[in-house]
Amino acid sequence: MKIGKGRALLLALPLLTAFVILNLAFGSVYTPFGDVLKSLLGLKVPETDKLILIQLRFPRILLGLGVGAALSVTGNSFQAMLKNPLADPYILGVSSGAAFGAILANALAQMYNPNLVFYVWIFAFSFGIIAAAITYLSARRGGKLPATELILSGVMVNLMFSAGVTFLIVYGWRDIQIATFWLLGSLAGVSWNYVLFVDVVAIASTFFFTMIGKYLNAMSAGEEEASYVGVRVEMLKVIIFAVGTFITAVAVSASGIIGFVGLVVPHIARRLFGADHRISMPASAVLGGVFLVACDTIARAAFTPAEMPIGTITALIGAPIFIYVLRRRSRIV
Amino acid sequence: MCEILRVRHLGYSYSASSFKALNDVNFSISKGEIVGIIGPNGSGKTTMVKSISSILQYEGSVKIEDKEVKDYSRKKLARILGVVAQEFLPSYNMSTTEVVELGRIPYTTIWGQITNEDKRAVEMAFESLEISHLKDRMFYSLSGGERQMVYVAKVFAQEPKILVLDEATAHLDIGHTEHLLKKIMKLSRENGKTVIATFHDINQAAAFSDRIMVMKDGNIVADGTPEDVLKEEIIYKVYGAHCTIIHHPRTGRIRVLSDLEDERNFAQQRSTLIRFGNSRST
Repeated sequence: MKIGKGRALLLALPLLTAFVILNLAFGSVYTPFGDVLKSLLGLKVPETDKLILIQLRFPRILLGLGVGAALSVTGNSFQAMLKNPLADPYILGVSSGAAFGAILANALAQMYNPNLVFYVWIFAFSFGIIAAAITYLSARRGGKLPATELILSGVMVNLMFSAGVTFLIVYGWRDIQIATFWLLGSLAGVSWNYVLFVDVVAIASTFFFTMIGKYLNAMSAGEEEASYVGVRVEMLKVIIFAVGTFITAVAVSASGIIGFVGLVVPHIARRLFGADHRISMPASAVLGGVFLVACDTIARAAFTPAEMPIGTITALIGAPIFIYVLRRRSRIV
Repeated sequence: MCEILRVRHLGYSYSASSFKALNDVNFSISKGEIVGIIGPNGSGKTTMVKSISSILQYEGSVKIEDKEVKDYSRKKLARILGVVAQEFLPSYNMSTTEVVELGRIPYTTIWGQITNEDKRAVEMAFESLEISHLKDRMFYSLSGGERQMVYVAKVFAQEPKILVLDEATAHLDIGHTEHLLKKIMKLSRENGKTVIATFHDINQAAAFSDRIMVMKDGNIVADGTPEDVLKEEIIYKVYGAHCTIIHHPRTGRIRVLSDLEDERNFAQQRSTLIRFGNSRST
């Protein structure tokens, strides 16, 4: 029986939900599935299990779903806008800017005012936006935003803020552990409020990018072609880069720089569900979220008592999957 | 016939150089006309297409239905003017239906999606080009000729009043070229569509167009029916090529034959003479 791609995606949702619940059981302490289900249904479970599940693992999984979805849909839209398969949400320098901001806040907190620790995410978010603004302003030429200039400016801004991060670590402050958190990413230690905020942003952005999917389809045929079918290309670029920058800054301020997801998940989604952005966007969101949650489960459960930075796992697992999908002979080549 | 496009003092320079890719171009096109534009490489054909379609910030005036093209919204302009370039190269492998559906974007609202009416227009575009068998195939699994047909179907689905072809047949074989040009002529005849087409191949232009404009160095140097314009001295002046003008034995349409053949005959005669001379000397 032939089923549509959209319907296949809907059918996959309950399975994916089940998969996410499974992830609740694993961690440095194993929680039996019975207790996981009981706790989700509001039945009585041991207090420690409840604490681990509700206060630690559940927000972490929700954050993973949100960050994975947000990075994947942003990556997908940037790849279409720039007609560049190597584009990812970090291409405008948001990631390095945010990492610099976060590490700066931590360094200042340790050196001058410990209260600054509570404002780390504001620093991360602001510097992420500042970095993207520098990229945007240096790439702009006569009211237009050429793709090549944007990519090159992004690379420069990324390098500049990375140098700033190294400078901070080496000269100002030597706490490598916190720096690793920001540079390789982690889903740990985020408040419930921020988790919910990230998830709302992820859902809204998936909806937004799906609705403008037809314009992204046109853009993937080139800027001139998009203009010929009535797309206001320069305006669309500004809107997408502004929205994408905001989403990325929100994601990075919550979880640091988690690489690979925003780059590779859109490719996998397109291979599996086709190039039409009206389908590949929700597919990217679902796959990105699930992929990140799976990687996080491995990162926290497989190396106990230590925890592996999630960016390492996303690359270790994602790269072979990507190569497999790339090599698999499918209808959509 | 009523005028649909009027171009006055059209000029354009790439970058800040003083070289003008278009220099004071003036012409008008009536509704339903099929106009071919020919000229050597770099004569300004594509720059003209991009100016008419408001991709380039031109100098002077380009008016469609008495309104400056710059003043149209992109969406409104896309409903009036459809452009087929040499090739359509999406970065992802879409299905042919998804490609043709792009032509319906000018008819949707910002958040709106494809309606049943749009689907009918897409269906019609496939049918009018007789490529319904290519429906739902993957774009990059098609041959170059088939891809170009799908691309044209996208512009048919756009239902523009003016169809602009920018060397749209440059990569096609004789069969696909004939099929495509016939379909476009039929569309123009039956629906009163205006067609503006640039060509490298003078004979394609001669067979296809009611009127031909010849461009050189950003100017129009000749404008008229193929009979008026395709003259040996004009071809020599514009292309620097020697040719002979004949009429097609069946259709009676004008044909331009390159005199390159003459050169070959001359070369052959010369080599025969040399061989003859050599054999005599030995």
